[in-house]
Amino acid sequence: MKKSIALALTLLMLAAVFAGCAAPSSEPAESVAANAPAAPAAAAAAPAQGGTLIYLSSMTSGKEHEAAVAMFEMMGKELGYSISVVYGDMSNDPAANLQAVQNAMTDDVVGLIVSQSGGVSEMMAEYPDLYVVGTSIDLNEVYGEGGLYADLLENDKFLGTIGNALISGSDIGKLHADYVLKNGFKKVATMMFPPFAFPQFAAADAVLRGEIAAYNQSAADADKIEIVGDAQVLMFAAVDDNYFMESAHQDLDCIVVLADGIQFVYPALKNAVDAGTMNPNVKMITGGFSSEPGFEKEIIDGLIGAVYAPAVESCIYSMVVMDNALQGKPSSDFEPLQVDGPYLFIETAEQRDAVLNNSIIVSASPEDAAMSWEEIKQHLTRFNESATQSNLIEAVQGVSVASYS
Amino acid sequence: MSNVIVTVLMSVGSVFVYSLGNMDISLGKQVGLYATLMVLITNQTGSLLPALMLCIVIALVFATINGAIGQLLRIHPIIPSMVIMFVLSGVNSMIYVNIGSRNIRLTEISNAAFKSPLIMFIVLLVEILIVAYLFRFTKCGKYARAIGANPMAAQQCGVNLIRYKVIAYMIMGICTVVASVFQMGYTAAASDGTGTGFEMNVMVALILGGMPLSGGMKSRVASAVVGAFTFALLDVGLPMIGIPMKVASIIKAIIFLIVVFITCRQKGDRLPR
Repeated sequence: MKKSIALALTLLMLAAVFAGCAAPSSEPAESVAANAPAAPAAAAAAPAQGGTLIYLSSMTSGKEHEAAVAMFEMMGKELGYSISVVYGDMSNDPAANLQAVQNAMTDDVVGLIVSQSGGVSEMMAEYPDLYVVGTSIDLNEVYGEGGLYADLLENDKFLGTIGNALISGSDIGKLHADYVLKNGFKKVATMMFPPFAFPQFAAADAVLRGEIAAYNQSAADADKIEIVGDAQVLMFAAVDDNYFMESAHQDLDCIVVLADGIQFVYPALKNAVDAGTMNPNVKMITGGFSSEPGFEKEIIDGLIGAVYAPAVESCIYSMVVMDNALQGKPSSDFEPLQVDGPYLFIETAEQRDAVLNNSIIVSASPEDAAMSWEEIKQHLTRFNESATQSNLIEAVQGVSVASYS
Repeated sequence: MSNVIVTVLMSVGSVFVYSLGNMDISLGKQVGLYATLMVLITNQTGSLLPALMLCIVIALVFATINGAIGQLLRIHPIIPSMVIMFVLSGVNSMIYVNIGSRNIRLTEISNAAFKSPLIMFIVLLVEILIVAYLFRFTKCGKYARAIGANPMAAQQCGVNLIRYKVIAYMIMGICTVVASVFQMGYTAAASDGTGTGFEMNVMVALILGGMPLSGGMKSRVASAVVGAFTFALLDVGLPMIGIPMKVASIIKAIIFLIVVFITCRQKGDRLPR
């Protein structure tokens, strides 16, 4: 009896799983469209009257994440959308990202806002009626030469992306090289995330080295800058403590970290300085940001000489582009572009204090965003028929540390 | 759907190894490697078959290492699988470093077949029937359970421990290759993160289904099927009914603890088998 009940329940469970989770993508396109949720189909035909936007986040916690969610929720509330936050796979695995989106899919979803690239093409194939826009992601798989998902550029539901700060490795390299040259450092090392995951950082490293080599050609011997070895690749793990015990690194005066150095480099560097094995005057220029209490003194005055961090306001671009598309009123000059995101480059105590005291990245409150709702409305075609994409890009990219002063 | 089928296929294949009282923590990385090789080789040759054959050969090699080393060197069998996990982690990273991307995509053949519920169901049914037959009616299954129950007694009865352990791992390896086909076919892509954590999904699924971690005569193929579907329902179902991911994880953990408490309770003075 017990076995029969167990067997019956198992069969019922099997049937339910196969019926409920069957993937429609193997069916012809017409059939997929017919089976698709009603709301997205309606969205294509007429202006959307609300609905849900899925935000596939690359982060699961932290102030930056909280601030981005708060911004999306504020804009969603004003525009009549609810925001469903789902978390992408840490390794950006296409299948895991697709599964995360599938798990959150409901009948009223009208668009996807993604900050993970893995599986974007598959998501668009699975839900062909949904608009998709990137936020804080370069989507080089779409825009890069021979990109994995280059076919998305021909999909009119793909709305482009805004990067997580600068997209071009050349621009990132120049920004960091300028800092090194301006501050007169003499012995520099570089670290970066692996090029296969972040090719722009390898390009940035090459540009930085090129800029410094060019400087060295005309500099006096005493003023020449030495870059020690090749870039240390951080395989998504903290730098080894031994790095700062090697004689070639102990007298570094600047470390350029093309990665989240606050998480992956700072702890080992701090240990080395505290242990006396590392030059105490070394300065790190790094991506990432931390507003942890007590940490602020490390920025500028301590081991962190400068911080290069993305500005949360990049999500404004994504939401505006998405809403304009959902309303059936894209701006007259709209193209699914890959645009640089706004960034904060903190290199003085005043800039640090302005960001710490007045910015959304610390408070996670939309009231502290560099653009108010009234300013955002000017770029939404439902409020301003003459809104243009170029003005939107200019406004969003205009966000900098000066915006919080 | 594919994540469900992958978990079930792997769990069913793992029954032999778990019935030995062993486990293989390199499963996830093996799936990652097989999925990567399938995409790369299929894109080169235009056919999945060469990749499939190569993956099966590699799986058999890993099975031999996993099954034999522990017994030969008298070390816990989880250790060789840990070594393989680290090696595969490095190999996967090197492949993607050389490719210069975190993701690769299947371009030469369509993945539609791998997403067909009917094909999934047929493959699953065939695998369950084969594994159930092998496990219940052949020497491989009987000896695997006997080794799990009492390896010394099994050896004294003339069971060749190394041979039957290797066979158990080989069956699991082949099932893992089959699961990898559907994992890769789901999105027609693979990445350096493909398969991460799958070994834990299998372990949780088997425990949810009532499989004794110590192996032995109470091991059942049904445990894998029921456990894997229960796990998949929790994994997919909780978010689908609107429970936030973080809360869903806590609920899954609580259910897991309850099941462990129920299934592993001590009876009298005997350890559970």
